[in-house]
Amino acid sequence: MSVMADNAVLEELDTEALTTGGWITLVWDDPVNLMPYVTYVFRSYFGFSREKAQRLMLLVHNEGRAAVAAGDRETMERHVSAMHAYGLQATVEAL
Amino acid sequence: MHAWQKVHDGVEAVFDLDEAKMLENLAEQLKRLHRAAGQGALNFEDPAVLRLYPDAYDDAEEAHEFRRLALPELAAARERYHDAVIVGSVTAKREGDTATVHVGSEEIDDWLRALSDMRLVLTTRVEQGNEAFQGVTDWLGYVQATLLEVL
Repeated sequence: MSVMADNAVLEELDTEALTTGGWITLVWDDPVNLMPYVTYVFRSYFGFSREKAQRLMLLVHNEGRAAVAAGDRETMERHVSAMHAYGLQATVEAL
Repeated sequence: MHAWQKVHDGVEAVFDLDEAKMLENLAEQLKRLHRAAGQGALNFEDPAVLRLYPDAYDDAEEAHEFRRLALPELAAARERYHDAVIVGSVTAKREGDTATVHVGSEEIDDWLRALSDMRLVLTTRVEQGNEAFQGVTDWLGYVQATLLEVL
């Protein structure tokens, strides 16, 4: 299930984070968690606006996954752990 | 169960006594599961366990190393989320065959996480052929969805 970072999954990320290279946090679609719950997690953990959280949730739902953060490896591991603590499926990927 | 209502310091919902008891039992079971996870006593070949604690990396070795480092703290935190549900059920106001469950604003996040955990495990059991859990899984989804709606 190796993933190439494509435009669809990366469209929401800061271009600065992308050009500095590094790592991303990918959230994967799962058949269990409710769409409004995923939106809630993105809002309450990352502090995203309702619009941005909903856009990312739909990206996860429609594309199967979405990159929700980019940066250094340690930070991405912390985000992935946090997503797991909400019951979401998430992975750390190298860019 | 009737949908959640906002009250001044949180939310409330009226459950049947059986429903409140079931929530409490599920929370107890999930608590034990997370405790076992923290002690390294879980079998990661169980798909329900893998859904609760998914691989953080594609690479098996990196996933294993990440799990070894992150799991104790993660499991301890997740065990605590279920306390909110247990306390909610234990302290519910019982009248006749109903229990009014009050969830303070600070505990709503714990409840949402706990309900997600329960659904992850029960859905896996349904997928494994235990269709009896489908109704409970749907009902837990209703409890979570209506809780999200009042926020």
